[in-house]
Amino acid sequence: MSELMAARAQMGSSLAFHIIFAVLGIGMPLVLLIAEGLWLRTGRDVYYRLARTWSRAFAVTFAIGAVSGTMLSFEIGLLWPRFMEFAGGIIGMPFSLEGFAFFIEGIFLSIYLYGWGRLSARAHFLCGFPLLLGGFASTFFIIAANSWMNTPQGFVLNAAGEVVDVDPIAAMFNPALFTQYTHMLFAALVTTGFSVAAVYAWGMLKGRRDEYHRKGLAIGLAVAGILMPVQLVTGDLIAVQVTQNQPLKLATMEGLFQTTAGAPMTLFGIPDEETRTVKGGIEIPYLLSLLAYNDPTATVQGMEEWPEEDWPNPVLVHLAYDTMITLGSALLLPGLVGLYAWRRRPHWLGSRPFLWGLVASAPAAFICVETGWITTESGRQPWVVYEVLRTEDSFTTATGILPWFVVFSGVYILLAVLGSLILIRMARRRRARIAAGLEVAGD
Amino acid sequence: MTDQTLVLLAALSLLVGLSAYAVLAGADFGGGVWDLFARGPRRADQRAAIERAIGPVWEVNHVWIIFVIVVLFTAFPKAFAALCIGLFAPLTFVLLGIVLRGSAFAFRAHSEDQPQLQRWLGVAFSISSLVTPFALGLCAGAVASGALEPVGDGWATVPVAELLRPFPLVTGLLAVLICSYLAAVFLTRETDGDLRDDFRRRALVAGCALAVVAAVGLVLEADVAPEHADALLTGRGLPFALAAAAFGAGGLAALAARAYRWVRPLGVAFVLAILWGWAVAQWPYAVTPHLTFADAASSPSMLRVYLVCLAIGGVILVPALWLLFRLFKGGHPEAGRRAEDRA
Repeated sequence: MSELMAARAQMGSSLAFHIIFAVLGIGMPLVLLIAEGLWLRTGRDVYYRLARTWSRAFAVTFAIGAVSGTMLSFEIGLLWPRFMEFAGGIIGMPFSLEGFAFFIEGIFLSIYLYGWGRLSARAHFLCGFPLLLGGFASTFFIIAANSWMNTPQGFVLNAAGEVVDVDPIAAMFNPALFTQYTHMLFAALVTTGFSVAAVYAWGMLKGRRDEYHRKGLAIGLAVAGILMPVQLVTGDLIAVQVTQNQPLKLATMEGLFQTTAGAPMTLFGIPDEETRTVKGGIEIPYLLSLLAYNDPTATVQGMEEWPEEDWPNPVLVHLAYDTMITLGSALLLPGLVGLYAWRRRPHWLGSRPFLWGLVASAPAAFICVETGWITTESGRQPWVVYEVLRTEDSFTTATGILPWFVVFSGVYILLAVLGSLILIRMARRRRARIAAGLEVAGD
Repeated sequence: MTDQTLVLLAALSLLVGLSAYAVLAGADFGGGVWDLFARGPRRADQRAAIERAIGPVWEVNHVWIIFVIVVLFTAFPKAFAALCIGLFAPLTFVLLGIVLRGSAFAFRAHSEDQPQLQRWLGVAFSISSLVTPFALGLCAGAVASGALEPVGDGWATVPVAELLRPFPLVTGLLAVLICSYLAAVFLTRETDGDLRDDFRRRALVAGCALAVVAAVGLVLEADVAPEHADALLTGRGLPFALAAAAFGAGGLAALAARAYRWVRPLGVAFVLAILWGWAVAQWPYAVTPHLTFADAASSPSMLRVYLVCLAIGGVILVPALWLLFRLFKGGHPEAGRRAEDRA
């Protein structure tokens, strides 16, 4: 493995790891606020217990998110110093604002976690809002930096290749910001909802069909089920945005080599760069033109319009994208079935197929997040700043990346195993305490 | 506002971030060091007090390093690139230390029914609490002694042998001792009785060791970083050096006399005097002696926007931080205890 590939692999695995905890960091405050709000309204212990359990679990996942996020802030400098040297003076502003947003998240997380019983119930509940908004704001600023990498603006490169006339505001509010932000934000909320629902669906499959499990499942499913249709809309918006700003990325996502009028959408199949065809795959006529331009006969540019050295990896990007849209569409089902069952067939809600479906929805949602992120980031390659700075040119001159890649991969595996173990044991302890009648407000 | 003023203000914001990180996160790392050296009949109580003190605040204190990094690459991107290339190896150790410290601490706090695992997590937590400030101190020493060298249009990676010379090693040790001293000093305000006396003695030991190592560091500095040492001993850094000596001696005297009310402000003043003296001696260089802050800075338009963001962010941050510390560092020994721990 070359040093450059080792660096890309390390950056990629760090992001893939962090995004799991970032997603929970954005979404958990929402489900916490719902559970605690319901407790304040109804005074029922079950909501209090759920909020307390989630707050303890969140303490663990937030800590992993905080340290893995720190890794990223170091790694963009350690691995890609020339990228930061180039970009720091242009997109530093959202990064510095993100620092403040993260402070707010950290401060109110501590107050929230350690403030049970120390603050009044109402004050404690109110402290959940800055936590939620801090997460929304962090996401906004991080996505602003990332979307700038996709649609860079707010600066001029002079003849000597130097950055001049920097406009930090224009850089931050770049064309990809709105669609990338909304798509990521709803992805986080939906994924958290499915994760919560899956935990309690699993418990019910194990025979723990008590009110605690039913309410936990209901809150998670309500969040995911209500927001999932919204997520499909933001997905459509981002596809249109990519069509306008990064047509090569769109062509790569769709495995479209030739410029085509009335382009079909090809689901799966293996794009072959040699023959410039997609082997296998299911073609749905006119769908791509319809999605990209709202016109079934519109012409969609194929990858052939660009030189091959500017192509992203079509196999990776196409398969990642198709995985995301397929699983993402399937994730409409739990919400729709749940809604129908709730109104007409209540007994379905406790049935094994439905519960198994919910259990599967959590990994499916995380796979969507990961493959969506691969689509965005790998689809931008070979550029780190789209059509401005190539990834290989931003790479460090320091050597010895490969051993560190091995070390940090080991650390991630260790964190994942230990974190899961600790969360499972925590759930078991909580159940024992709840069964013993503990975990009520004021104890 | 002139361009020089913009650079100065941005550099000052960096120093404020570093100061907050040194005092707040430094004490958290020091807590980990004392966890490693927990001794005597109250060993378990010492560890519990440390965990209680760190628990509610370490994540927020940790954000200051992110703040510092963000300021570096927003306001001084060339310096950030130089440090990342030149100090690749020690910074990677810092990173490893940060990741292991944070996660081991959080995991340990939530694995109360697995004593074996908890012990291992404690070891990981305390060793990484020692490695992280050591590697950071090493980096500071390497920069001050001019170990970073430009090559072509980039920078050379400092060879490991260059890093493991006496001066960077001493600055690494100095950083560990600063953290340990601060932690022990803070813990005398969050414990009582015999436990408080344990930390009082630890603070005295760390404080005396700190004085000795700082003196050795100054002697070495005169050799490898003469301009730095001159600035500190005769030039604009002198007031800070004198203040550090006075606050250091005062802090030790207060500890010896059990004048606990004074130990915390004197301890913080001591550490800030060292850090600011260091910064003043280093000025105007971001990377001694090749890159000044002015040369490393972003465009004035960027700096202006950055400083506005800083002001807005500060207005939001300060009251939130005040609330956090008022809640959990209110001065009584059990300030950091969770409700369920008390039950």
